[in-house]
Amino acid sequence: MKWLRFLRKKKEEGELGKEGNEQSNEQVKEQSNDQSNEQVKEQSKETEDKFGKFKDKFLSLSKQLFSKNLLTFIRGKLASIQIKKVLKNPLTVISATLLGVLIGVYAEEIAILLGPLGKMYLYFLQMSVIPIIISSIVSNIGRLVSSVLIKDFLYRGIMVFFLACFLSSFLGVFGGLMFKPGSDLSTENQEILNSVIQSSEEEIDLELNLLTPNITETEEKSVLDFLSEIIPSNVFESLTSGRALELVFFFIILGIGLGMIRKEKGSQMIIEISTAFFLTFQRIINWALYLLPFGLICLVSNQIALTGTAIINPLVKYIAIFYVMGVVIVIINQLIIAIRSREGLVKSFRETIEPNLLAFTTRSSFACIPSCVQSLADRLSFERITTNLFIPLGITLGRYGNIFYFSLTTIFIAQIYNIDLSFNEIMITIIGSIMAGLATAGSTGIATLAALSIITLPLGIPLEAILIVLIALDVVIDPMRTLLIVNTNLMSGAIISKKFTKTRGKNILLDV
Amino acid sequence: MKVSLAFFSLVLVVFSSGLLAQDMSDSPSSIRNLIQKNELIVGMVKQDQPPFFFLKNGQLVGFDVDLANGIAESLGVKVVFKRSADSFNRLIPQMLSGETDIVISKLSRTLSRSKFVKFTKPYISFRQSFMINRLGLAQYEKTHEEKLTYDFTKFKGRLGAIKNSSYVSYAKNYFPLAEIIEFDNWDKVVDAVFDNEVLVAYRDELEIKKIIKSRPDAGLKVQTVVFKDTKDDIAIAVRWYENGLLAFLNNYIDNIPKAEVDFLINKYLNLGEK
Repeated sequence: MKWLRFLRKKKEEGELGKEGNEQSNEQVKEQSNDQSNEQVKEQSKETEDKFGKFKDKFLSLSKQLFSKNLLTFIRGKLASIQIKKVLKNPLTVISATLLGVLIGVYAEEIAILLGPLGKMYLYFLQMSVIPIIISSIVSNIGRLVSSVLIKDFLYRGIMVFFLACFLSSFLGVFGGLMFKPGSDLSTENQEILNSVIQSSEEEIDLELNLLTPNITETEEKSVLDFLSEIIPSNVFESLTSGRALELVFFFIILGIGLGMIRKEKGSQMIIEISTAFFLTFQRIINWALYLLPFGLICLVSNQIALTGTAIINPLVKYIAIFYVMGVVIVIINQLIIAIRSREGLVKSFRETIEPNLLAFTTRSSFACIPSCVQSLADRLSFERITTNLFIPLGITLGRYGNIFYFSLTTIFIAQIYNIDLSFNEIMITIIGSIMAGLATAGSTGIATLAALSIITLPLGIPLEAILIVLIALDVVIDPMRTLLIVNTNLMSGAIISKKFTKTRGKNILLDV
Repeated sequence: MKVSLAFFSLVLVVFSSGLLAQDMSDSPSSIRNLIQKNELIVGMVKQDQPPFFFLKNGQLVGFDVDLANGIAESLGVKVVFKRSADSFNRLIPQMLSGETDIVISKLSRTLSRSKFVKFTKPYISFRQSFMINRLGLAQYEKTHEEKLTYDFTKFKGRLGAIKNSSYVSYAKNYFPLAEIIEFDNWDKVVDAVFDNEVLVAYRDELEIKKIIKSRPDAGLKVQTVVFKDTKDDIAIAVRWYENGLLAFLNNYIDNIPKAEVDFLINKYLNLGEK
């Protein structure tokens, strides 16, 4: 308070001084001769002296204050470092998740109250996602274009992307054919599904014209339609509606353009500004991640409290297959990360648990981008430019969890309707799932599920009724789907990026 | 005391018979005849047609039963249900021969019937409806260029309907390209659709909604379509020359709330509780 009052006083003095100056200026004009000019100078000198006195006083006072504060500040800093360590500890994060589960199961009312807090946390994470995607692409692609890393990045990136797409799709089909999630649906379970379908908000009774053609409002999108939609006709529209795929396309082009004119004045500055933005948003996310345990308690408990258990029974086999296979894929991914990072299984798992848990609990793969980048670049010290660039691109385009989900679910629906798929039809399922996965690039949540029609339409599998069931079930499936997207992208990032190692204080690129 | 009571009842009889006599002489003969014989014989088919008329715990109940009771009550006569006809078309000659007075039997107001009898305004109106096998539909759309739901008049698949019902003639009229397969009864049509033996079953929305609400596999297996631009009017039939009675019935129908299909199902059938 003392300090504030002092400041105010100083400000008033300053203003007074100004007025004095102005008055004297007017005098100058009236008299309009050289002598008066000197007078003015003397006057202004006097005011400067006054200022100087105040300045000294102010500085000495603030020094005193600061030195007092400094001690407490350091003390607080020490304490907060310990708290930060505790908050960031994987054990804290895991136990927060478990606590969330317990609250969700045993204290539904509290869980529902926590819902809005969880949402606030999620929104805070999502707030910085679009700027991070943009700034990381702009700042890194310009550098990449001019560096030796580009060849590796493109070559490995494309290889890993297609291989991971194919494997995800293949594993889904394999799991579906092997473990048969959709066959032998009992009458009791059929009744449960029936009631879900009947009570859905979607209109299942179509009301149409008999005698005149019915113009359908929603046309199914073909893969070509999807491709033509990558290019934004108005990038500002894509920005305001947050269409990630269009933005990625635009800013890749922008980044390449910037890389091309890097000798021109100002281009380097744009890249540097983008980098500064990127780091700023990383920092913002980092603050939020300290609160992750609290966010998790709110998100997890609310999610569990709101999940109806009735629908799980008839689909328990399907859910189990999806989760068990999902866990197997995650374990394989973690093994690859461990090998690539040369850190050992336990440490690499420890350093990547944050993005994985974040994916599983927030069900938003985009919200995990900053955490993924930190895990790979900061904690496992993978090469920074490729990591920074690959993770946003990979998470936007590489919807591996969706691909796995699509292929497994297509087989599941075929089994429910007792359709025996021929070899050719299985091939169509594998390829169609990859295409459907690409079509969901940049989209999240339930909008994803409608892309199933890309596969079911050419196969002649009825989708509408099951889609209602799948939408109701998605609360259960979505966490694993998001985890598979994020985890497989972490693995891909680890394959694409080279590893840094610290020898004698110098960062040296390991050629792996 | 006894004398005064007898006198009072005598006055009452004379007075009321006078009133009746006056009523009868002024009202049309069709109504007068009913009041004279003090009963309204309602023709209904043998087979139960829930929720219109059906036996529940040995008692005849349903929407048509309530309607007939209400009409008889406002005429001041008692109601008799005659359920000897074994088909809807059999009800018409039965009434014309004088066995019944009116027909309230979920009877569709068709042109062919209008040649013999007069119909009231519809007391309920159904839209025509399709019940489509989902698997069949998906495979139909895989093999055909145009979606079935885009233009139904171009429907080329197998269509099931009840033999000799009005829906067979509707189908021939509206779906010239379809292969129409007639079944002995509705249950067989429904089974055929659920087994994908025919692609669609064609009937009114009420019957199709009943199936949807009663079969546990309906949600997964079939899709319903209600045709907005069609209707199946259900009305009361009277002999063609009984205009007075017709006017009375029309007036009665105007004075009761208009019934909806969902209302009928919810009021008379507890399908959901099964």
